[in-house]
Amino acid sequence: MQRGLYAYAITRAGAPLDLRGVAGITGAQPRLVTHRQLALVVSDVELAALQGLSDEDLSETGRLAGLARQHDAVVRAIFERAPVLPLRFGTVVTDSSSSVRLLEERHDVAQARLDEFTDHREWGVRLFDTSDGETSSSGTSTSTGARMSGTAYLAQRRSELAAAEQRREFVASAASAVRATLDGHASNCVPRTGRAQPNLLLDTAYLVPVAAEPAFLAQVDQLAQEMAVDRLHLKLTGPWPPYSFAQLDVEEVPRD
Amino acid sequence: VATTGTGVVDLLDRVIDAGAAVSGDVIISLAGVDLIRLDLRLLLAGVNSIANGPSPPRRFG
Repeated sequence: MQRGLYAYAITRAGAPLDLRGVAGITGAQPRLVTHRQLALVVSDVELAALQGLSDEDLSETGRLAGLARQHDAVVRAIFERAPVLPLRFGTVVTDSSSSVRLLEERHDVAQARLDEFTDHREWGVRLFDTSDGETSSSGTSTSTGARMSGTAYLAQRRSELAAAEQRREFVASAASAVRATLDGHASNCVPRTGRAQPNLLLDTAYLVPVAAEPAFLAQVDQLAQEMAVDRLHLKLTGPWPPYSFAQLDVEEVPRD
Repeated sequence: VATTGTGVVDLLDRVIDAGAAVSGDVIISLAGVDLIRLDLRLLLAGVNSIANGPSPPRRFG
């Protein structure tokens, strides 16, 4: 049975970090491998536990969701106690010496990230158009079109298209307004590109200083109320460990 | 604005789709595929179908 060390995150070596009672991937006890000012949080794993994850596992109770929750639980346990730089799910290194090599090779950039993340939490903001396309319908008026005169039909199509265009412009300006309002409360923000969802106008992760959270959240609340009037839904998630801001390699792993 | 609990889609969205990707010789591979790469591809194929129901395959990249 091939074994390795599952790596959750990088944190500071100096901070006292008691992870007793925290269960990691497959229930294993997480521990620290320290090198210079950094520590890699790892636990023993049999590679078979990560093998053969398939589509049927993608449910609340599936294997992948379970493993992702275990990963998240360890990252959050660190996050509650010290600055944390989360690693991507599924990162497994050979042994302690490869852990040390990982920390050595990325020492300075990891240090800089941990400085950036100190006293910060991540919040996710998404904006959805909930008007349900009623102003942007197209090609739905064939039945009425048949009974209409050609001129009336064209006039109707023109006004439909104009209304759709107006809505597009409106939601674009609403999205800009959200960005402009919230950016000022955050130390950093990144557009998230993972999800292609219908009617998703904006998907941004904000890295917010803990001291600025009340103002940020009040602002989100106010924006959400304003936007709801115009059938826009502002959805907040968080607080998260700084997953969306965690990058180590100068060249990120290319996706192909 | 109430924050929702972490549903599986939001969770996978962060845990698998984000987080620092470490490349290089310290990473263990299964069948020649880095674990992080393997699971990324899984997620991109899978979460999309949870969130939106059946949908055409997405292009990655």
